Amino acid sequence: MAWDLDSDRPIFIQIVERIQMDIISGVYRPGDKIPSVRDLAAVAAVNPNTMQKALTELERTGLVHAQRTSGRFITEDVHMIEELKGRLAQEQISIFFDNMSRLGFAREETISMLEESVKGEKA
Amino acid sequence: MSGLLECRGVTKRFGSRLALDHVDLTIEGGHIVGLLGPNGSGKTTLIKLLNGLLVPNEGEILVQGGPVGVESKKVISYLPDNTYLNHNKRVRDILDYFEDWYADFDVIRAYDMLAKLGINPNDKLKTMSKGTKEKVQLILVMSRRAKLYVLDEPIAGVDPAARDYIMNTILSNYEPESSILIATHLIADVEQILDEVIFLQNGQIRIASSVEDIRMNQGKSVDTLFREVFRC
Amino acid sequence: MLGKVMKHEFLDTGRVMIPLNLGAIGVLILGIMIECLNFPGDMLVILKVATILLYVFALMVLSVISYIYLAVRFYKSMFGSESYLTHTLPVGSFAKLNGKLLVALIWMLVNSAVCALSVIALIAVALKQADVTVPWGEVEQMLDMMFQMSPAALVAWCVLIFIVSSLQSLLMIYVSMSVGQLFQKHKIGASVLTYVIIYVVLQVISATVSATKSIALFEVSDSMDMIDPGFTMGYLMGDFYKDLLGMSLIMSAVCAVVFYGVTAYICNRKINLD
Repeated sequence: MAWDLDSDRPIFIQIVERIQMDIISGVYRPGDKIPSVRDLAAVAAVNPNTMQKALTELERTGLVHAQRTSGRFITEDVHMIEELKGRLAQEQISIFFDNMSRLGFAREETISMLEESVKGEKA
Repeated sequence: MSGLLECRGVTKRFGSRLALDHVDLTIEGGHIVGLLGPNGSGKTTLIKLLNGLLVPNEGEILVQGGPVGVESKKVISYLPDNTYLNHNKRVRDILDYFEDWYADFDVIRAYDMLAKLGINPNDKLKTMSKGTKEKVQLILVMSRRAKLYVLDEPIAGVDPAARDYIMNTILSNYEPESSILIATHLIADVEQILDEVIFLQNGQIRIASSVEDIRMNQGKSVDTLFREVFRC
Repeated sequence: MLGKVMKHEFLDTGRVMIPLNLGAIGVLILGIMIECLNFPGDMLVILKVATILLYVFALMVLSVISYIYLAVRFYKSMFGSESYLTHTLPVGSFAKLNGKLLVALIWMLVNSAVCALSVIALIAVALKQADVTVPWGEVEQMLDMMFQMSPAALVAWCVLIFIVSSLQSLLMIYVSMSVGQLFQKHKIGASVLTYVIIYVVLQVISATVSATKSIALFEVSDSMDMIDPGFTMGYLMGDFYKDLLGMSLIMSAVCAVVFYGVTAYICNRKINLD
């Protein structure tokens, strides 16, 4: 099934985000071979050039590397993946705090609400 | 290096009406280009000119560096907006016909696609529904290993499930040296597979840009931009 | 390329033309059987004569139907519903035109051969049944006097004229359709109008030419007869018909060439499909 992509934002960035998520969540494990540009583009239902752009960007950051004839592989650098995980988590946290502050909650209030709801879940 | 398709100052008049006004455009191989514009913008006229169904009043059209003619028709695969086949024929006969005329026709692939869509090659066209006929025509066009595919409203009369199949077929047909030109008004449905768009209005090119540039620089989808540009 | 065009043209047109011609032959066989019936009574004679007349009528209808079918086919494939397919095929416009023209010509010849042979066969059978013998010797003599050539040569001439005039009539339709194409609206109306205009012009020209020739003959004949009695009769009995054959051949040929040229030019340079 085609990936759920938003036409208002550059598609290649969304593809990068999705593949990053797939790497972190373990859908792609370190060292895995990823499908060819064509196959991936067909699965995602996007233009192959756009997919190529996304993969090139991933190569640039080092998450993906290309072996000349055998194709593209996820990096084996577990440390880099952990770092990415951490960075994305930080982003989520920032977004959360921003949203809460837009709702009118100060930082401390937000943190105590969090603790409350965690306690509530455990109970 | 000359592009796959080049239009230089192409102008076409019908009586006193100016359908295309000194249009310049270039399409390189390896792209899926959307030709977008409202009715009467000149999309179909441009497409007919590319295929040699009309002759321009001024300007020239070059396909792989050569003029429109027998050689260009060998490398262009065209899907018109209407049914242009003899309805009394069976699908099988039409496939044989295409195989006879086009050296790049992949008949095995055609039968494969027909099977996947559940179309019986022994059926006559006239017994088929409109949607099925359009699928047959699309299969014929996409089974050619052409350099330029020109699709005029390929998904307009087709149900959503078949649309997905058609888009998928278009994508899997992608070759780095070939390009696909899709003229359509169903922009939201196709914009994800496009990498370049051309906006045509009153016979002139208003916008020619890569799709990702529009999304990045204007923060909009092509569909949204289209609605703004061609607001009634 | 031409071969391929012709092959497909035969396949497509054969579906209609072959049954039509076979049908004609079938009716011929029926006609022959009727002619061979032998029971007493005047009714039989009327029946036999009626059969021949009806059959000739049927053949005329057949020819007209064939002609119309071939014309419609040309229109459909060059300018109508199948034109997009025809003109996006990787084949030159001359090959397309020539292929369709030749195939249509061949069908018209087949058609006429079927007609001619079956009329001859039917009449021959009828005459034989009625025990009537045709005085072939006298017929041959008369033809020889009229045309000054052997029957074989006359037949050859007729075939040649027939081929050229078939080409002319086909091309007259083609050129009318092509000219009609040049217009934006009312293309079919324009085609019909073109055809009518060409027809009228041709009639005027041929009437003028024959009238001129006859008048010329008139002017000359009195004086010539004084010098050489029997000149006019001799001419009328000799070169006149031959000249007539020659003239109509030349006229048809010229028309055919002109129509072809215009059609080819329009299809090549001025194509304008809806």
